[in-house]
Amino acid sequence: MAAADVVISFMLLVSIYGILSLGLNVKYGHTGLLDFGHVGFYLIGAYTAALFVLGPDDPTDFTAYIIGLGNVPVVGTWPVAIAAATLLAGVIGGLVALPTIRLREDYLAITVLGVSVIFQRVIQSETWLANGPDALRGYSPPLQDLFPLAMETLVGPAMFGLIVAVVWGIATGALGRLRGSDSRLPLDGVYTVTTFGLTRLRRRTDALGSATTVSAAAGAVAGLLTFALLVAVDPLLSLGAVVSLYTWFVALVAVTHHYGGLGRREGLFGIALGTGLLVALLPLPLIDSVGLKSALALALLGALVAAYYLGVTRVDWLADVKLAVVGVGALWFVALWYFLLPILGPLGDGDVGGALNILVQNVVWLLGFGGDTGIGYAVVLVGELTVNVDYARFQLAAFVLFLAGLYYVLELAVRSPFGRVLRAVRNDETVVQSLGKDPFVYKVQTMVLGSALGGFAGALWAMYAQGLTFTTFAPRVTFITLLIMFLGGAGNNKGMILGAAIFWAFQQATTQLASFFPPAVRVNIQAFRLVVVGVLFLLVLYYVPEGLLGREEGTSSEVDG
Amino acid sequence: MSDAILEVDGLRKTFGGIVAVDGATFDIAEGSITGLIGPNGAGKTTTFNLISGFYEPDGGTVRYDGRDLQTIMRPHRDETVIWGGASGLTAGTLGGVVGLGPLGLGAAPAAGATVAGAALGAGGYLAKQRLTQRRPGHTNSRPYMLAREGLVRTFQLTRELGDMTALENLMLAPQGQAGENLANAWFRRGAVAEEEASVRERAEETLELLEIDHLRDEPAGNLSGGQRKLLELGRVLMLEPRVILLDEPVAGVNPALTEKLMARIEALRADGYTFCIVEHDMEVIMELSDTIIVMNEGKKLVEGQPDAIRNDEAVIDAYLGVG
Ligand SMILES: Nc1ncnc2c1ncn2[C@@H]1O[C@H](COP(=O)(O)OP(=O)(O)O)[C@@H](O)[C@H]1O
Ligand SMILES: [Mg+2]
Repeated sequence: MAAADVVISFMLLVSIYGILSLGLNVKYGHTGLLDFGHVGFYLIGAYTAALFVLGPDDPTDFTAYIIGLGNVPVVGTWPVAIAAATLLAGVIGGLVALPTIRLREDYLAITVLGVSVIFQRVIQSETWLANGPDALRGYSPPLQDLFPLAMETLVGPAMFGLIVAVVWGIATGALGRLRGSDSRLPLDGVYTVTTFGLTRLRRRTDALGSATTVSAAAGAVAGLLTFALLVAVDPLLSLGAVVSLYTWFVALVAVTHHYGGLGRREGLFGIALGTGLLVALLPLPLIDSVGLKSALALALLGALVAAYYLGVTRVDWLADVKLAVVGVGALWFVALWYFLLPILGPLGDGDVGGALNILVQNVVWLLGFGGDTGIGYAVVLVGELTVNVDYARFQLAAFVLFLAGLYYVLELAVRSPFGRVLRAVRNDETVVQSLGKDPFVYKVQTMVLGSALGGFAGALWAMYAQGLTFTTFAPRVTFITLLIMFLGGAGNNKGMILGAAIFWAFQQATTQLASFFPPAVRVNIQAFRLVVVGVLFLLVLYYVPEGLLGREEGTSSEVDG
Repeated sequence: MSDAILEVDGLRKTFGGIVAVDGATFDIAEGSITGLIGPNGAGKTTTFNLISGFYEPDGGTVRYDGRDLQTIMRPHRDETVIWGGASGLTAGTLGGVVGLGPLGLGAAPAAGATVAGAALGAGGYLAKQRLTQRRPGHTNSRPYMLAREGLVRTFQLTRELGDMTALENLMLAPQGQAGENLANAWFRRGAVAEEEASVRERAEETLELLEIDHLRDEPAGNLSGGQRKLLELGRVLMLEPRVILLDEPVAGVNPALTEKLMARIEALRADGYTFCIVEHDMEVIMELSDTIIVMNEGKKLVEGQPDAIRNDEAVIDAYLGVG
C-alpha cells in the first residue's frame, strides 16, 4: 500500500472520530455535561443506518434482524439512513438524559455509562434485533460499484468532478483563512486564481456573502471544469496532479503559518527530534532478533525522551516552545516517512526511475495507482503509471466534507448567543436561572445535539466498516473520545480534529511498528497500546489539562470573514 | 397597601433545626428603595432567596405584582412539552418494540400498542403534573420564571461566570434574545447579528457606567471582589427588571465608586425601578433608603424611616449597638 493510501484510511477514521468527539465536546466541553456513555449513541447510529440499508431479512439464512429497509425506494438509501441515525440518536440522547439531567453531573455520567452498556448487551443478546453476537453484514456503501471510475462514460468524470469540487472547496476555504498571515508566498495572488476570480465578483456585486460561499463556489467551478475537461480529453493524471499539488501548497502555507514564528534553533531542535524518532525506530526493520531490536529501539526512544525532557526543563528558550517543537518534530517525521522512506529501497538499488515513480504516486495522492483498471500514462523519467480513482478517494471526499460541514455548523452554534448560554450553564447554572433562562431546556438541547453527532459518526462507521459487531461499541470508545477531547482541548472544536488525528496517528503507527514483529508478539503489542493510551490520558490531564489548543470560545456572530 | 409590588406574608424557612426565616411579614412599595438590615444570621439572605424563588418556603406567601410566586413558578410550556413528549415517546416506542419483538405481534397490533403506549405515557405525565400542582402546600422552584417577570437579584457571595469575559457576562443577560434559540442561530444569522450588535453596545455602555470598561475582555474570574459586585449589578441592570434585590452591593467597592453607585441607584429609582437592598454600611443604607426594615432572628423587628430607625431602642440593642 502506498503511503497515500495509508493516509487516506487514516483520514477516514479521523473524520469519524472527529465527528464523534465534536458531539462529546458539545456536551462536556461547551456545556459541562459529563457523558460516560457517548458510545451508546454511536451504537444507535451505526445499527440504525445499517438496518436502513440492509435488504429484508431472509429467514432461511444464518443472519437475523428485525427489519431491513434497503429495498424500499428512497427510504433505504444512505442519505436517509444517515439522517435517521442522527435523528434517532439525538432523540434517545434527550430521553436518556431527561431523568438525570437535573441531578448532579456525576450522576448523569454514571447513568449514561450504564445505558450505553445496556445498549451493547441488548444488541448482543437479542438475536432477533440485529443478529445478536454475530456480525451484522450484507450491505455495501453507496455508489461503490461505480469505482474504480470508468472515465469513458459520463458518470466517471462527474464523480471525479464531485471529488475535486470537495477537495478544492475545502482547500480554498483553508487558504482563504490563512491568506491574512504574512508570508513570503504570494497568497493573495494564488487565492484569486484558485477562486477563479470569484473574490473580485464578491467585492463588486456582494452576490457571494461570505468566504465560505466563495470557497464552495470555487469548488463547484473546479468540479465543473474537471468534468468538462475529462469529457473532452482525458487529462486525468494532470488534473489529479494539479489538485494534489494545490492541497500540498495549502498544507505548506498552514505549516508555515503555524510554525513560522518559531526561531531557527527552535525549528532545528524540532527537526532533530523528528529525525531522532526515526533513527530510534530504525532497529525494528533492520535487526532480526526480537529481543535485541526491541531493547535497542526502547533504549533509543528512552534517550530521545530524556533529551527532550532535559531540554525543556533546563534550557530556557526551549521551555517556552516545548509543544511547538514536538509539533515540528512530528510533522518532520511524517514528512520523512511519507516522502523519503518509500523511495529509499529503489534508490538503494540504483533505480532512480522507480523511486520517482513512487514519489509521484505519493505526491499525487488524489489518484490511485496500479491495479487492473485505469488509464495508462508514460511519463518522461518516471516511467509507466496506471491511474485510477478508487472508492477510498470518494469516501474520503465525502467524510471530510461531512466533518467540515458539521464543524462549521457547530461553530455557528457555539459562537452564537445560544453557545453563550451553554458556556454560562457550564460555569454556573444558578446564574443562568437568575437571569431568566431555564438551564434544563439548554441541557436537553445539548444532549440531543451531542448525541445526534454521535449517531452521525456511527452511521459513517457503519459505512466505513461494512459490518457491525457489538464488541466495537464497548465503553472503551467513550474513553478514547474523552482522551481525544482532553488532548485537543475541551471546548475547542478544532481541537477535536487535532485530537482525533493524534489518536489515530498513534494507532496506525503502532500497527505499522507491530508488523515488524512475529505474530505472537504483535498481538501483545496491540493489547499493550491500550495501556499506553491510558498513560497518555494521565499525562495529558497532568501536564496539559487545558489540552493542546486550549479553550477557544467567545461570541462572535461572524464565524467566517 | 395597594401600591406594594412585593407582599411578604408570614414567610418561613428552616434548615434542619435552624429557623432561618420565622414568619417575616412586610411590603415593598413600587418605586421605593427599601433597606433590609439586621445582624449576621438574621435571615436577610435567606429571605432574598425565598423572594427570588431559589428556596422553597416552609410556610407563608410572597406576592409579586399581585400574583402569588408559586403561581408564577408553575411549570411552563416548554418543560411540559419536553416531559410529556418524552414520556409519550418512550412508552410508545416500548409498546411498539415489545409488540413486534418478544410478543411477536403483527404490524397492526404493534402499531396499536405504540399508539396506546404513547397516549398512556403523555397522559400519565400530564395527569401527574395536574395532581402535584393541586396538592396543598406544593411548592415550585423555578427562579428563572421570576426573573423573566422582572424580579431579579444579585448574590451576596458573587457568582460570576469565571471563564467568560466581563462583556460576555453582561451580554448573556438580556431576555429573549433571538440567538438563544438554536434554530435562529443557524437560519436567521442576519437578524441575530443585528440584535447581537445592539446587545453588545448596551453591555459596553453598562461597563462604562460601572467604570469597569477597561476589564471588558478580562475573564470574570480574574476580577477583584469589588469588581465582581459591580459586574453582578451590571448583569441585572441588563435585564431591565422591575424589582432588584441587591445583597450587599457595595461590599468591597471603593468609597468614590460607592457614591456613584448610590447616585445611579437613585436615578434608576426615579425611572421607576424598585430596589430592596441588604447592606451593612449604615451610612449608605440610611442615606439611600426610603424605608428601612430591620430583621432579627428571622423576624421583622421594626420598620420605618431611616431617622426613626437610627433612634430606635430595639434596633440599637439588636444591631446598631454591636457594631
Ligand atoms: N443553605 C443553608 N443551609 C443551612 N443553613 C443555612 C443556609 N442558609 C442560611 N442558613 C442559616 O440561616 C441563618 C440565616 O442566614 P442568612 O439568611 O444568610 O443571614 P444574613 O444574610 O442575615 O446574614 C443562619 O443561621 C445561617 O447559618
Ligand atoms: Mg447575608
